[in-house]
Formats: sequence, structure tokens, C-alpha cells
Amino acid sequence: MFVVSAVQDTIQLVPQDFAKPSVQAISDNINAKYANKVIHKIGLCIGLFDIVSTSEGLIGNGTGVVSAHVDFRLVIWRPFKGEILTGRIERFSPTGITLSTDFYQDIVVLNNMLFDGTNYDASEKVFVWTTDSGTPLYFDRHEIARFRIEAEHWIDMSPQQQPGPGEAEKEDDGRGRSPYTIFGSMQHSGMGPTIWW
Amino acid sequence: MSRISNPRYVQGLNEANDHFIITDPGSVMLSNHDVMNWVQEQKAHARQVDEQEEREGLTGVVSGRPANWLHALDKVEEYMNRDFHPWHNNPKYTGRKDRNKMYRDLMVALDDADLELVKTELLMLFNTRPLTLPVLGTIVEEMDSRFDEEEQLQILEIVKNVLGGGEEDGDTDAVADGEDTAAVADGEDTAAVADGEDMDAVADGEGAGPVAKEETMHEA
Repeated sequence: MFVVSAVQDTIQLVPQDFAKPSVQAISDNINAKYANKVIHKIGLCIGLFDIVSTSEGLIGNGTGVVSAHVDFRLVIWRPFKGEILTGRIERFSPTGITLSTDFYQDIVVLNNMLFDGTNYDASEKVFVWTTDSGTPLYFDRHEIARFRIEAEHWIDMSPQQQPGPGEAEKEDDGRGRSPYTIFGSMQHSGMGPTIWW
Repeated sequence: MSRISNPRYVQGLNEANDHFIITDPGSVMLSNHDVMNWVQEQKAHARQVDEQEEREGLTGVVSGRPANWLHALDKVEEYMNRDFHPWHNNPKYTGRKDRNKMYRDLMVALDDADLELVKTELLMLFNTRPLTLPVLGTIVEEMDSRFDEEEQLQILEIVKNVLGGGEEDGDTDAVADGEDTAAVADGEDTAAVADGEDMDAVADGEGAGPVAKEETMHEA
């Protein structure tokens, strides 16, 4: 689920922070910039893992800002394909189920990635799996469930990639565009709500 | 349901003025247990630093711990506190001296029994601790063609012995803190341990927190 990624970046320390020890100032700066944010095609950054090296701080003209080139590592959340994760079912739509892992809410299991014989019950707004023996098993909201990672979908949210004024958005499924969406499946025995198995 | 914790902003790559470069996209993997411990340490350290700044009268003068970072840590901790994780109510997880001992023990036990599992499967075993065959079947691909039923039950038995069997009261022979570390080479675990030397350029002698720690992790 979690990996450590190595990054190089230029960190700028403002004069108000000079009273902090350099390590702390750099760490706070990196965490402010990266924590809880998705890095395109890398994953969701949780926080700074460690600082590998830094250059000397250089002061530019005009402001008292100190710039330093820092090599550091981040704790990134990016499940690999085929990984089995446990999460909570959050909501349903006719197209599928959305699950979350508390710190991440965009896991989608489309209705064709559910067990054969699963149908969307529009009146109760839940998915029901009718097993071979005829018993209906419900995917309940807020149920803890196991699922398999099948694919990931990235949308580059950087300003250059956004549609210009008046242009249509490139992708819009009505749910809001998420920079990082994970598609999963619950088709194998052992998957789905943990209480079933 | 709140979407506040849903990260939206994305760091753009190759922006003209940005010197942001990824040198390693993520070849080193961490187990859930590693991350849970890391989150707890980070929060404890953050509290320490906050207190230190308060003592020095710097609170409000310098920028404190970033809110988005604290929020991310809180959310990951919330996830890790859920009861489906193997360490919940499990005395086998109390030894803190050698955190990777259990992972190594699992690896060695499976190896000794000639049960070949891929590294990702081993990591998933460690993260999810399956106690029944259907759940094991989700982790081990094509389980029925690679292992016969006896071997499958053997895997479950090993998992139960090393990681705990899921009983509320747990096993009374709680694992002692690293005293009998099997003579397994440490070299296989120490993945990219960051250099401590380069910190001399910056460290003011405080050297606490996220400075490169001698932390062993699971290799990818």
C-alpha cells in the first residue's frame, strides 16, 4: 500500500522561520507542500519520510528568502495492481460502489467488477448479490470490505492542463474530477464484506 | 460524508520554474505496520517540537506544523486503528525493539517449509493476516494450482503462529523483544537507508525527527 519515493526539490525558507532549526524548517516546508496531496502518477503523499541531503542555502535578490536544493523521501500511498485492500463502503450509485480508506475516498468498484449475479436495488439503493443458492447478500453501507486493485486513473490537475475559459472539461462523470482514482473489483471468493467469509 | 480529507491539489511535474524531480517513484515498500509506527512517531515528535517552540516563545512567530500534514497523519492513524488490522488486540505485536522480526520470521518459516511466495504476496500476508482459506486465496494467485490443500493449510498455520491467531485474549507466550533474533542476515532488510552524513551541512545539533534514521524497511 505504501511506498517511499525519492524527490528533489527547491525549498524556500522565509525569514520568519529562521528561528527554527534548519531541519525543522525544511521538514515543515516539505510537509506543507506535499502532505495530503496527490503527485501525478506517483501517488498520494502522506508526509516526509526523511531528508537525504541538502545543499547550502542561497539568498536571492529582493527578498530574504533562503533557497536550498533538498533531496528527500516521502511516504506515498499507492496500492499496486492485484493488491488486496480492506476499506469501508461509502456510497452506491447505479454504476458502482465507492469505498474509502479514511485518508482516501476515491476507490470505485464498477458494477461489472462485482460478483456475477449482483444487481443494483434501486429502491433501497444498495447492491445485492444473489448467490447460486438463492440467498441475497447485501453490500451494506459502512460495511468493511475486501477488494482487489485493478487499475488506477490519473488526471493531471496542474494549471496548464485545465480547460481554458469557455472550453468544455475533458472528463466529467458528474462526480467531480479526482486527480487519482482507483478502480477495484470484488469478484473472487474472500472479497466483499469481511463478515461474509 | 466529508470530502475535506480528499486531496485535490496536484503537484504539476515539469513546470517551468519548478525544480521538482522524482528520482525514485517508489521502489521501496513499507508494510502497514511500518506506516502505523511511523505515523505515531511523527505525531509524537510534532507535539515535542510544538512544546519546544512554546517554551522558546516562538509559537505564532514561526510557522508551526502544517495543518494538511497533521490532517493526513490523523486520517492514516484513524485507518490504522480499525479493528481488522492484525495488530489489533494482538500481544504478538508488542515487541518494539525489532519491528521487522515478525516479517523476517514469517519469511523464514515459509522458506523452511518450501512454500514459495512472491514478495508482494508475503507483504500482503503480513498486512492482512488471513486466517481462512478463502481470504488466503485472494492473496495468493492461482493458489489451487500452486499449492495443494495441505500446503495451503500449512501457510495458514505459519501465519497464525508468527502473526497471532486472532483470539481476543491472544497467545500467552508473548514474543520476547527481539532476544532470539534468528541469525537472519540484516543485509536483506536494510533497504535504502539514507545517509546521515549529509545532514551535517544543515543540522544545528538538534538532529531530531525526520533526519535520516537508521530505519530498516522492507525491500521492494
